[in-house]
Amino acid sequence: MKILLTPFCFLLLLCNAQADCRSADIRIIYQSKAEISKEIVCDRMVGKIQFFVSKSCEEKSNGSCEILKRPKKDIVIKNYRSNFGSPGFKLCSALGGVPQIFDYKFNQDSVWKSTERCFFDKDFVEISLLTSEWKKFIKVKHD
Amino acid sequence: MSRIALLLIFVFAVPALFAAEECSTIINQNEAVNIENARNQDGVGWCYAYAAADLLSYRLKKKISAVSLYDSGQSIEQDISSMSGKGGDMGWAITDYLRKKNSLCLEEDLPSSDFKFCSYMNYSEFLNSLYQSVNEKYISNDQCLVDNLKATFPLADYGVIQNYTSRFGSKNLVEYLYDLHCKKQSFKGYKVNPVNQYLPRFTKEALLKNINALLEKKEIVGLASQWEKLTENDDPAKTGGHATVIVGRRKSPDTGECEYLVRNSWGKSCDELEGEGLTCDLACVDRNCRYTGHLWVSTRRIQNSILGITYLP
Repeated sequence: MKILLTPFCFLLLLCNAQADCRSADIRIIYQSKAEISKEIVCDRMVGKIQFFVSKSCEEKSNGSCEILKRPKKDIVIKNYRSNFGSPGFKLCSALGGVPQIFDYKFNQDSVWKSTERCFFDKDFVEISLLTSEWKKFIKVKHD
Repeated sequence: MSRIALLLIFVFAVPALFAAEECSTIINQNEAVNIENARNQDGVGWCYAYAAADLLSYRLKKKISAVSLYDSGQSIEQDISSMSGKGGDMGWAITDYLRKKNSLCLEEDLPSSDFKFCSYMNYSEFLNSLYQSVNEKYISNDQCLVDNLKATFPLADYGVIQNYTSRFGSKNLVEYLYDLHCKKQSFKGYKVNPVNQYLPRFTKEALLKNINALLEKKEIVGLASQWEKLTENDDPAKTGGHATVIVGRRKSPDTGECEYLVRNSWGKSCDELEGEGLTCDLACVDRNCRYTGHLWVSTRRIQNSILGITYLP
């Protein structure tokens, strides 16, 4: 029984690992035209909340990226809670990243969905993951 | 049944039934404005324009350009250079644009987000760098700026900008570029008179009643609120007014009280705002859930923070 189960469990393990990363259509407007490209987007689960990260940031492949390994410490952000500009973008830039808004869909979904990510070189994490992880460390500075 | 029992039923049960009806679950959305496509105002302080664009987009079932509705009462150059902005009004942004243009501008013609910038830059920083380059006359030497220009204003090459700035300098340059990209004039002749209802002329109770009535008519409602009161943040500095859109309501699964689905324009991030009476909306498939950038806000928080509402009749 054990011998029979092992390859089945091994297959399950493979399937689970592959389910964490998927090929996504990514759409960004450039020169008034939609530029669509394919990218590998991986899931990062925090409880039941799903966030997207780049393959290089995906845990199971031991590819954790710098921003996710970076030790948390207080970070001062000017006018973070002012309604001039979205807070997530301010956090992304304060951490040294490049924010980008984009549309995505998986597997021939009929509807494009939008989100935003923060690039650190070629690594990216969804901005909502950054705010979730860093919210306790944000110190606000005002003009 | 005794008369006392009947009286008790009348006093307590009947109003409770009405209360349940008053907070029946409603989520108003369509192909242009829906749970999956909360906007992101990027680095600008034009929340009112993004909310106004949502009101129009929902009505017309076509995504209207948010930045085209800029209406802060000062030039865009002044607005973004000060990084504090003067803000604006949802209703007046729509009225003023229609009066000037007698048409609308689509998001596909003048994008408000999704830019493929070649370097770290948000939208307001890009506009600032454009003004700086024009004032210092070196656009043609900065390939990154040229690329960013193509991403945001595809009809504006170096020659177009040179032609404008040789006559007018940087004055109203971005307004000119907006006009250039909105020449297509969608929904020509479209007319609507947005309704603004603000304190103190309208009481908070009246505003809330109107919100409910509009939701029941399958409308969405622009909400102007004191953001620090709505979010109950402990930051001592005032964040000022913020414009969002109410698109739904439900009875809270935790408290049973009525709460409203507020569509923000800050992308998907939300959980740092959560607290008693404010939870992030989640879209769940099986056991995986994602933030939608919408907030479930209690009646209490709405009442404490509301300044007014704007809707399209």
